[in-house]
Amino acid sequence: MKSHLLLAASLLLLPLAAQKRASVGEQMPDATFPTFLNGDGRQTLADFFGQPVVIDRWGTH
Amino acid sequence: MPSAIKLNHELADKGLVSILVEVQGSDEANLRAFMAQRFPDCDAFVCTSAFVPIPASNGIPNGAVVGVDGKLLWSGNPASSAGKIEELVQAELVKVKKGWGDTAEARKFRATLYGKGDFAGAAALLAALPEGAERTTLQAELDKRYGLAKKQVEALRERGAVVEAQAAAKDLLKAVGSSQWTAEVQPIVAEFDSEPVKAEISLQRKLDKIVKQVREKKADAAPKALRALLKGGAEGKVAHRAELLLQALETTPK
Repeated sequence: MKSHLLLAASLLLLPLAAQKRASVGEQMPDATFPTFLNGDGRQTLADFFGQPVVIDRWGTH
Repeated sequence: MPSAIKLNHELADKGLVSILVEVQGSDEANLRAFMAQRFPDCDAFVCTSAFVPIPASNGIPNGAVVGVDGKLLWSGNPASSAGKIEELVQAELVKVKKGWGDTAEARKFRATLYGKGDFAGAAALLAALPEGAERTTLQAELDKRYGLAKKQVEALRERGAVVEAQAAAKDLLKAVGSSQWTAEVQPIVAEFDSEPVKAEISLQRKLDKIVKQVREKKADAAPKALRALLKGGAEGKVAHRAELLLQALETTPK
C-alpha cells in the first residue's frame, strides 16, 4: 500500500520535474515545440544551438 | 509580436532564429489563418502553445533571448524591450562569426561550423585536435549540425517548399566539399533533377507568385489564383501547401 502511494506521488510530481525553467544566465533545459507552420525539421530548442534565438509568447485574441 | 517579426526580417539572414509561440489556445488551422491574414510576410518559426522553460509570467507578450551556447540571456516583455533584445542578438551574432568557447581551437571550430557553415573545414580542424573531452564535445556538435542539415532538405520538401529544399541541398553539398559526406550528399542534390521533382518545382514557381502577392497584402485575387492552380488536379506536397494557403485565406480567424 505504502509503495503504491509513493509511486502515485512520484507520478504526480513528474510533470513538475519535467517543466524545469531556466533563470537568466543558466543553460536552458531543452524544449520541444509543436510542428512549426513553416518549419525546416528543427523542432527542439537544442536544434537551434549555435544561433541566437528570440522567443515570443503571444496571443491571437 | 510585430517587433519580433521586424527583428527577424532584419537579422534572420545573419543567423537569428525567431520562434513565435501562440499561447491562447489557437489550433493549427486558426493560427495559419491568423498569420496568413494578419502577418503574411512573417518568416519566423510559428507554432501553437508549448511549454517554454523561461521564468514564469502571467502576462503576454512575454519572451526570451537564448544565446548561441543555449544559455538564457534575457526574459521579459518584448514589447517594451526591443532595443535591449536587438543589442543582445547583435552581440550573439558576433559570436557566431568569431566563434565562442574556452579555447582558441573551440572558437575557431565554431566560427567555421556555425559562422561559415563549412562542414569540411570544421571536420579538418577537429581532426587536428588531440583526443579528449573538447574534441568529443565538438564532434557531437558537428554530427548534430550535419544531421540537421540533411533533415532540413527532407523537411522542406515534405512541406512543399521544394525550391528551398533544393537550395538547402546545394548549400549542404558546398558545405561538405570533398569530405567523407560528399558521397552521401551528392544523391540528395541529384534527386532534384528527376522529372517528378522538376514538376513540383515548376508548380511551386507558380505558387510563389501568389504567395508574393499575399505577402505584399494584395491577397484579394489570391483565392481565385490558387483555385486555378489546383484546378488541373495538381497533387503532391506543393499542391497541399497551396490548399492550406487557400483554406487559411478563406477562414475567419477566431
